[in-house]
Amino acid sequence: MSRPRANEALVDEAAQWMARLQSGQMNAQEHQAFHDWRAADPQHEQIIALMGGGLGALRSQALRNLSRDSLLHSLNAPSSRRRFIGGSLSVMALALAATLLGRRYNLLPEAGALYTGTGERRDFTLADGSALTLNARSQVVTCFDARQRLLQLRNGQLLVDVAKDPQRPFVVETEHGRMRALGTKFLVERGEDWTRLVMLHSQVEVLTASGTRQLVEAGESLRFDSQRLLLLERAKGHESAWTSGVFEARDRPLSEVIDSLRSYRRGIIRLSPQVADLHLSGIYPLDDSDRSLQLLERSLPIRVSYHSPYWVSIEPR
Amino acid sequence: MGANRNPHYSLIGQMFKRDYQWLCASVGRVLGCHHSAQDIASETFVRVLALPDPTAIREPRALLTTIARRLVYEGWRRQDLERAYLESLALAPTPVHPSPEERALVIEALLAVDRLLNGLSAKAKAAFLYHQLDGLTYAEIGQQLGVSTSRVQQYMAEAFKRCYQAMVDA
Repeated sequence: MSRPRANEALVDEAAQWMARLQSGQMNAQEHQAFHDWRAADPQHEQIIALMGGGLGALRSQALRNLSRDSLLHSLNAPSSRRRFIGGSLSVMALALAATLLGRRYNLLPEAGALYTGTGERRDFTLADGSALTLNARSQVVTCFDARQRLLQLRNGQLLVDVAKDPQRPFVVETEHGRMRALGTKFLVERGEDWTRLVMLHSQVEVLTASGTRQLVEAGESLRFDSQRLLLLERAKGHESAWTSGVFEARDRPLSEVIDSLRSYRRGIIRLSPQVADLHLSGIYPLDDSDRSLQLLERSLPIRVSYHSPYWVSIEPR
Repeated sequence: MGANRNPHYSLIGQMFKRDYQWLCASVGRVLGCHHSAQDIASETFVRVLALPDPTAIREPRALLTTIARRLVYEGWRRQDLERAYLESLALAPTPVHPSPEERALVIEALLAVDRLLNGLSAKAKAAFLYHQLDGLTYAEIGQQLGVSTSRVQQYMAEAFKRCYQAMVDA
C-alpha cells in the first residue's frame, strides 16, 4: 500500500530545490544550501530520492526513439471515457451517472473525436448539417442527442456555422465554460488558460464554469476562463482569417504570428525574447510556413536560421 | 513470491469467495461487458495478493473497488494513449511502421510516463520532457513554449512534485 505521505510543504520545498538544481544555474552558495537542506533531516533526503526515482520511467529506449511530436501528442490525449464515469465505481453513483450520462452522451460512447494534425485544416459537415472548420492541432468531440448538440473543444480553434434547429440548442463546451446558440456563426479558440469566443453572426450566451453568464453579440469577442470574464471587446474582423489559410496581423507582436505558425510546423521554432515584441502588420500564409518565415525576415530586423528542417531559430540581426 | 507460499493466501481466499462475484457484477455494470469485468476482478485479486500486509485490510470491498477502479482507468488510458500514438504515426512527415512488438513497448513506456506526469498541464509536460530527454535549457524551453524562464522552472517543480506523488502511490 501507499507509503506514508510526507508533509506537502516539504514536498513542495524539495520540488523547488530539484527544479533549481536541474536549471544548471545554481551557484556554489546555493549548492551548499541545498546540501545543508538535504542533510538537515533524513526525510528531506528520502523525498529527494523518491523524486529522482520517478525519472526511471524516462529511461526506456522505446520512449527516446519516439519523436517529440508523437510523444507529446500521445500524452496529451484526452481521457475520453474516464470523465464520464465521475470517479466512482460505487453502485449508487454509477446508477446516477448512467442515468445522467446516458441521456447526455449515450453512455460510454465511442467518443466521436474529430481532430487535425500539425499543418492540417479541415472542414466537416456535422450530423445536423452544421459546417465545422478545425484549425491545425485541434480536437473536438461531438455528442449529439435528441435534446442538444454538444461540441467539446479539447484543443485548438474551431469555426462553426450552426444549422438552425429550435428544438436542440447548439453548445460548444471547453473546460472554461459553455457557449449556447440557436443558429449562428462563431469562432472558438481554446488557449491553455482561457477560451476566446468571436461572434460573426447573431448571438451566443456564455456560461462560465463558475456560473457567470454573458450574452455576446455579433462583432464582439469575449475571452474568459473558468472563474471570470477576462475581456469583452469589438472583434478585430480578421480572427477567422485562418479558415482561408492565412494569418492576418494588424500591429501584432511577432510572438503572436509565430504562435500561429507553430501549429502548422513540425519541430521547434525558437524565438529570441529580444525580438518577440517587435510589432508588425501583414498577411502570412499558414500552409507554407517557410515562406512566412522568409517574409518575416524581410520585413523585420531578424535572422531566421535553420539548424535542421525541424529546428528553426529566430534572432535579432 | 509464488502465490501459494503467500502466508495470507487463505485470508485472501476467503475474501475471494465472499467478494469475487460482487466485484464482477459491480465492474460489469461499468464496463457493460461481463468478460472484461471478470478479467478486471481477477487482476484485482492478483494485486491484493501482492500487498505487503493484507491483514491490515479493514474494508475489503472499499479496497477492491479502489484497485478495480484503478485497473479500469488504466485500461481506458492505455486505449487513449494507443489511439493517440497511432494517430501521431499517421500524421508523421515520414511514414513510420513500427512492428507490433515495438508498438507494444512504446505503449508501455507511454503509460509509465503518463502515470508519472498525469495531471500536469500540456506545457508543464512538454517542459519536463524537453529538459529530461533533449537536454534543452530552461531558457530554450521558455522560448519554445512562449513562456518565461522562471515559468519553466515552476513547470519543472510541478513535475517533480508529480514524480514524488507517483512514486508514493505506486
